[in-house]
Amino acid sequence: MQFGPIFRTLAHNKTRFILISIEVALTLAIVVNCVNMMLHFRNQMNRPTGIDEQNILTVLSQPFAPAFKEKGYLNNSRKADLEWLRAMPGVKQAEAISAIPLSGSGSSSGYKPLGAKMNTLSTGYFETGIHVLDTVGVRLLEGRNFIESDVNEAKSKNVIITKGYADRLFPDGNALGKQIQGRTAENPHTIVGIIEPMHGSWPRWRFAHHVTFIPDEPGGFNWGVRYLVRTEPGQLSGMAPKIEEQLLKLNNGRNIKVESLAEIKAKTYESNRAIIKMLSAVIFLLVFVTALGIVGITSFSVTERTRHIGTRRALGARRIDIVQYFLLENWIITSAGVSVGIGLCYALNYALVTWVSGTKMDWRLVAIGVLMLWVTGLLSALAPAVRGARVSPALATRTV
Amino acid sequence: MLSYLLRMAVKSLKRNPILSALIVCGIGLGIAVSTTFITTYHLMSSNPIPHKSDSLYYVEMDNWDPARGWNDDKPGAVPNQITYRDMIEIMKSNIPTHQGGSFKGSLYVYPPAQVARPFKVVARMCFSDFFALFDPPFQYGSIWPRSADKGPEQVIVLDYETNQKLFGGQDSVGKTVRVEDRDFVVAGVLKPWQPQPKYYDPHNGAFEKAEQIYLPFEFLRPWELHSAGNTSGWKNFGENFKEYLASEAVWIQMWVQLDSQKQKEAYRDFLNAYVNGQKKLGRMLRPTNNKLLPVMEWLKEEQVVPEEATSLMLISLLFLVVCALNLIGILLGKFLARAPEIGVRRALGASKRAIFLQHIFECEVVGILGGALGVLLSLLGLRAINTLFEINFRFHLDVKMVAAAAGLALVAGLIAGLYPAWRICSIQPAVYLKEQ
Repeated sequence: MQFGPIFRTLAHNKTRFILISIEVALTLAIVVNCVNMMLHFRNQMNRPTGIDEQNILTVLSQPFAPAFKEKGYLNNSRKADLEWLRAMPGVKQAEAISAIPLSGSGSSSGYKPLGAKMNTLSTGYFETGIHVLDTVGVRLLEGRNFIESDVNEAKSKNVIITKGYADRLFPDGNALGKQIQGRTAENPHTIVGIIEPMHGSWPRWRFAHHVTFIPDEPGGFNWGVRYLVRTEPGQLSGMAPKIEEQLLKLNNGRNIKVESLAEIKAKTYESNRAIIKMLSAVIFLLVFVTALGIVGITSFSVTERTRHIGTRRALGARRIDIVQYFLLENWIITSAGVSVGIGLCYALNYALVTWVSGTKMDWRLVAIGVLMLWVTGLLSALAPAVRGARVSPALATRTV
Repeated sequence: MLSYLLRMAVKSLKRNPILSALIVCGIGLGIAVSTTFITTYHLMSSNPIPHKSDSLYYVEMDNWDPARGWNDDKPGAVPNQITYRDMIEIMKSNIPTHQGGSFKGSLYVYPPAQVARPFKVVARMCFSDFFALFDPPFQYGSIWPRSADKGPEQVIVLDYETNQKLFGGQDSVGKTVRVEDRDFVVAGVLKPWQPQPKYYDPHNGAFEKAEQIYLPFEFLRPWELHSAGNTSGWKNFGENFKEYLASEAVWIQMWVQLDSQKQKEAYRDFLNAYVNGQKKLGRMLRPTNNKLLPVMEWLKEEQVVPEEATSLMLISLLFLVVCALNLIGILLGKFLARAPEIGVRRALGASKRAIFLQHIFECEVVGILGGALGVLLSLLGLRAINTLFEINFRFHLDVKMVAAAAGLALVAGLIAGLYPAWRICSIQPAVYLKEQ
């Protein structure tokens, strides 16, 4: 190979090639960090929630008729609604709940083992009826499901919590049957069931997987009454208007809003999707600009060296040799760039993690970035190199 | 001289139009991307009330659990809202020019039955001073009198959209609006008003919509209204509404206007005295840590600018650097290809300075063209970003940002041009004369 002449040329035109190397290095650093951020936001959005989110409708019954101010009236209305919802064809199960999971709105509290000398541990909690597990689509791992009498307990409740929360409260793994308290020891709850991991109201909260279900009769006049309706797979579409119509028929003293849980989740993660799109645009434009730069520089190299090319062709070099020469030259420059760029990648990642926010990046991302830049470099250099190879040997003799 | 330089620059750019277009596009893209993300950052971090942001203060007091602070991760932090009982007490002070707590409530509005079904609105429950504190512009009428706060009188201020919905945008002052179980007389109608960020209450998203109606605070009692925003507590909220109001639950945003340093010091003393008095009653047992936060400090504490906006801005600036490097490379090639011609000109007596000026001027022309293109493209970029968010926030270019874009373009042109221009003006004429 012709490394000798290439290095001598590069040494002769230092500045320009250093510029391109730095550009390649920066491009690598930016692209890899952008992809790293994109992956972070995408993975966060696509994590399993533990909820059968594709088959769940949410219903908000927002009463305005004054009769609803009376607890008994509200309770009867809820009972009637649930009875009708559960009987609806295509519905697997329905339950009333104090807030909608994944919606970004809800309640949180803190508990600790009864009598323990420690800070309480945060959990999102839902007041809900006894069919909540089947409605959410989350399985019981240990203990029992709710029974009718659980709802009637006044203050000390039998609660069901997620495995993640159970393991934090009782690291020895023996949470079942234990009592937990808030800041004071009054009215401790008893853990009667432990369920698979699921997300609560705020999926981006660091304690999203800490969830507690408290059996109760949720809802009120001002807050409204919320239902989750789980359908048989694929039965969800078209159901919303029917539910709205029927619930208003049952009681017209309220407004009804039906939304799928998937829509609600999408709203919660709106900013994730927006950031992913913005970063994609930045990456695309950046690679485009860098490619443009390489095309430009190679074009100049070719124009500048028309006479050298002619001479080499006259002395017997084939076209392919000329193309190869320029591609090799380009590859050396890009490689110099990416080797600096790998360092820059980590430096930028470190800076972002330290001063702004972000996640550490995977070395494989860097490797993919390097490959991508090599390919971009070679593709960008190809057209000018081929043009250079078309220089006829005669040209050399003519101009000398 | 200037027109000569301009002519030379245009001539040079025209000589290779495709290359020139590429150069301008390259720098234009850099300006567009950086302007877009600088603008998003700038708007999110901007001062929502510049004319009085230094005299408005957010009040915080530490009424939290003696055994455990407000935030486990931040030892000095105190609750970011206050209790009802504390609000009532500290509002007895006559030191602030204006003052008042407020909170968000979810209420039903009942239009005449033939107009529409009852609909839910988000109401700001506040005092007359709310309008004096935050200066929302009125389209019709004005604020309700302070006297209406006590009682309270059934008066209401509507936002622009609600007035459109209920009264078709007519002057509705003096007409009545039914909210929950009683009729309210319209005291005023706001013009469209959307403080960004929503500094007076950023707790449920700093860029959420402003409230649709404004009602006297004390109607919370007859309605037993809880906050539709955040409520935090460390003790029981109590068995009934009266106990809830007397509890340690925090859910009110308290603001005061203190116009002078003296006023500020007096109010600080007042708060300290109040907290010390509460300690004697067995409340507020944590170390006294009262805070009076001016608007911008408050927004910083609440971290209203998402970290991602900062990251994106940094990345976009690096993007501009890449574009500038690109430009240096291409200009260098372009100028040096012209070396034989410059050699002749130098030999014929053109000074180094003249050659340098000519080339740097050409770079600036490229910078200005790129900047103009960049501003146009960033308009598209911001429009694209606006479609990505459903929230009320709308990004737009303002004069400051256009100026910033122009500045960036000129600096980028200058930096990118310095080295190539220096190289071309310091060539040895002899070398090129000999070759020809």
